[in-house]
Amino acid sequence: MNKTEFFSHSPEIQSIIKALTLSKSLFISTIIWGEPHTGKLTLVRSFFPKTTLVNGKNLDTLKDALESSDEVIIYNFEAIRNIQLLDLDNKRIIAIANYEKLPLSIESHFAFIYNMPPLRERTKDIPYFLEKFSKELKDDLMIKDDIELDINHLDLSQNFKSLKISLHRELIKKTLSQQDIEEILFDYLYHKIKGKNAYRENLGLYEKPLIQAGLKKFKSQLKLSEVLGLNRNTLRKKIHEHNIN
Amino acid sequence: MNTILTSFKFLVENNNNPLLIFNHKGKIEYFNHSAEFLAGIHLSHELFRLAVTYAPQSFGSRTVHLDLTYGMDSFYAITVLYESEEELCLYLYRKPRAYIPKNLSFDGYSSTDINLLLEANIELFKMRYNNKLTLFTDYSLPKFQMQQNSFSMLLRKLFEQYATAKKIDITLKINIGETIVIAEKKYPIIMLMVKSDSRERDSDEEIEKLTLQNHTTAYFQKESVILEIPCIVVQSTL
Repeated sequence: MNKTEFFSHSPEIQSIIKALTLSKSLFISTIIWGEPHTGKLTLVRSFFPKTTLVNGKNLDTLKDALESSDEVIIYNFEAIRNIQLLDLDNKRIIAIANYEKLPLSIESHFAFIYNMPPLRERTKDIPYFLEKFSKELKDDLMIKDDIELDINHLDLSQNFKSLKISLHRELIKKTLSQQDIEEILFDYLYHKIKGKNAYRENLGLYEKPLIQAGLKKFKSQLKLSEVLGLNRNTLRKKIHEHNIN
Repeated sequence: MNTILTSFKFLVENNNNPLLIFNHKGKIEYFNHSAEFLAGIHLSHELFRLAVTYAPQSFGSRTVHLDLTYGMDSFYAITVLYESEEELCLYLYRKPRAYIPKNLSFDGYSSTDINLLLEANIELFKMRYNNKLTLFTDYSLPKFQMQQNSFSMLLRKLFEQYATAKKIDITLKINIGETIVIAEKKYPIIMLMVKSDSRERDSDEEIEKLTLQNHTTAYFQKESVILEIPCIVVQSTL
């Protein structure tokens, strides 16, 4: 089995790592809670690579594991409704829970309680993961060119999950050819066109990004109207029509 | 009234709860054995003021529930009595100490390096505490039997009392010369003291319950808490 490694420059996570390093040989109950997809399981696995891993959604399996082993990792711990039915005493228990707010009852069951900060708060970690995931995705997509990514287009709302999805999307977008774009539009419009005014209804697909890109590039409606070969009033009317800020 | 031969003075002198009698000027006229440590000049003034504050309006007695701590001793109530203008009597009710059973069960106990356990708990606490924290410890302390989980919960609760303190001093050492007898065997006592400029006392009761679970005795003072932990070193046959 490969050793799981965990990377973070976040001071909060460095403190968790330090406390876990000190306490990993003790028979104590620990819980790490926080938003989903923040790397809780990866962190725990890096400390306890061989420990029995049990899903909290499967209560019977969990009870069996607690009876037969004195060292258990429980993930999806938030799915357990009656914690008091579990014997967590005098064992090495590491629970992983996707709580957004820690329930008060947890305090009486766990000695060590850690809150895993969401990725958006780990500003020092984002560049590292951006580079790591970009490299992995570029290898998968067989992209060899350097691609500049706009960090504002990346989504951290669901931590690593949304980061990977948005990164994937950005990389695809940056490498599309004109033919790819035409094929995408073809597929989209094929399902979309209907009624009696489909031309005007779908014209925005072309006009809106064209004007937005032009305004970003030339920073002036006057200059853009020249570049587009449009009357200034016509351009202003279209900006208004497409609600372009 | 029936005639009783028992000497009431003997009963009073050897009562576990302190009893003090002041004259009208506040000078101590009498104190029993249990009140010896309270009879010092500094405390005697304070206790006289306490007695006057809670004295009944006329001759008789008045019992008041209070949370008092003097040195290592804590009290949960006082009774103030007087039957003349010349003397005022103060009786203090001592809080019970943790009970350590004669046949201590070792269920859930495991051999523990208390320094490691303490440092892990300090590290956990420091995630929310940014002020100065100093640990004075004896790294030569032997491993001894503890309930690691329950004791960690006790430490977490204890440290939470100092969450807003400006600085914290933690001392861990062996109480030289002091022992505790459990199951007819003597064990040394390890002392853990947490001291600061201030502490939140709301959770004292909860901490006391946790100390009982850990066969540990807690002494609560205004700015510090002392835990006396039996250093139960057992043979590997356990």
